[in-house]
Amino acid sequence: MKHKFTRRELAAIAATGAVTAQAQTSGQSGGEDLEKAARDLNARNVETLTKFEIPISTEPAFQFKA
Amino acid sequence: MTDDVFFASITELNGRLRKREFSTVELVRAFADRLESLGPKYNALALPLTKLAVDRAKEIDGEFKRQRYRGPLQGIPFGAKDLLALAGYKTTWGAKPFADQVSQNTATVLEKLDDTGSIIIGKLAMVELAGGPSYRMASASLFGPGLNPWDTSSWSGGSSSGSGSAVAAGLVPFALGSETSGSILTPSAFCGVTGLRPTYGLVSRHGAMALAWTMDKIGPICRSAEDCGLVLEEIAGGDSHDPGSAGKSFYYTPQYARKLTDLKCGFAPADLELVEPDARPVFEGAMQVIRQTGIQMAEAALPEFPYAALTHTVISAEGSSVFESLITSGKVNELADAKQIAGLKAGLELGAKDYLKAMRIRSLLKAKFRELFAGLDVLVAPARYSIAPKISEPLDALRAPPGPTSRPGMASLIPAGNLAGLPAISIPCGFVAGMPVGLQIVGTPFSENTLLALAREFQNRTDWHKRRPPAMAS
Repeated sequence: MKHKFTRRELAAIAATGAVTAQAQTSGQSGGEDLEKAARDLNARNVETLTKFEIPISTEPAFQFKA
Repeated sequence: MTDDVFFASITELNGRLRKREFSTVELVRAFADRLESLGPKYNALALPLTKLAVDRAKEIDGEFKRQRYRGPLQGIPFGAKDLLALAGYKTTWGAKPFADQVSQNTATVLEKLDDTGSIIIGKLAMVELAGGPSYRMASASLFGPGLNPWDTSSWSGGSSSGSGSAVAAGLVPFALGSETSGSILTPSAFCGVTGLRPTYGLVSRHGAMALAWTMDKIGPICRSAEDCGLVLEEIAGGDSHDPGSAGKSFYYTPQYARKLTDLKCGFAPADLELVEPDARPVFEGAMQVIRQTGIQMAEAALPEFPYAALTHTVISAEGSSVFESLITSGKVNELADAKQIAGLKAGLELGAKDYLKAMRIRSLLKAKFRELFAGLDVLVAPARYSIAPKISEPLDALRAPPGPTSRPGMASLIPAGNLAGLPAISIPCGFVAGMPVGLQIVGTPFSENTLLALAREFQNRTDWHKRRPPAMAS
């Protein structure tokens, strides 16, 4: 699922100036490929985790201390 | 001051200060000058703190004069990874978007070290944002690629790159690093120094940059296991400012360590097939030394879990949440490493159920490790299965490929140990093609004294930890 930026987020991104623009133009297509690769990796990882059987009673491994 | 001082142990330096062989000001100035002149050669220095250090050294000299002794760290200079806040000074997290960030508070670990009379002489370089979910090149840092003192065309390791190389080059007697998944053990192994990753929650992270709240740890990188024990005793302890704090202290007590002959050490024979062929004799020799300590050896295997998928999912989800405003503001694009930029953006898309699934599997993983350690006291394996890569090489080969199961042998021990919150120590155990390699020892939560006892005995029987890079050889 592709993340959809809100209009406020897009406005903030557009306002970040020349440095950002320069960084992006130096590797625009490479950046897009890498973003797709990163999303694909996350999807593969999730698929791997989904195949793992978890007993229904298993709680997540973090603790909240009041 | 002779070169030997720059490679002396904490105990030796503190002893010489007490005997007034040199003053704290002289010692601090010597190390600070060396860090300022040689640090940039390895891209190890983030921020020199010479004036602050010399002022503090004058106070400590006054204490020595009045015979007010605080302990073994009194008067000892050190460096801290640049993700630890020091009030009034820049803390860049190794990342361009935070290049001008000035800390308002001081990290608990730095306050604790100040209380011991130890003196910070500089902030040390690191991989940007401690590596985020992933990065591709050694150059992923505001300070450039961490260069290895054993060969400056090789990487120092990350993400505590400056901490590893500064200790190896004798620029600081010890340094603080941090580990989310490998960031203390890797530079320690690659640079030929001793690094300790404490049990999750033993050392406060208050004032440290967060990457993954449930996995971040702060620990020492030193010349020896003995020095790691001394530093850990001072930085450990409960802290109400750290929600992950275990509320436990640590006392380095080698005199009360269990006899090694009473302990059982797990190892995987397959590990020797996994290391580079040139490295096999080195690791065989290291395992032989472990056997000679009298510890009982037993073949062991890591529980089967998708370690790479788990680690990546947890760090990605937590890291992208930590840096959400950096990502959505677009400033993330100022980072040096395109793979890290892409990974942080993609992490925002991970769903709650996916993160929770990873954390539930982590519960099962912790239970399996409790079962494994019911019959073992420690696990021993190569810290890294290869020598430091060249800085020009992509780092992808260092990481486990995602897959349904763990890798053979103990090759997944770094992510496994980090997911389970286990302590580990990396000790130098030899050289391959002129580059150092390390052995890792992993134990149950809060078993640092056991790890240190075995590491100390290994270092009593070998001198790998005393070797110096060619440019610094005596």
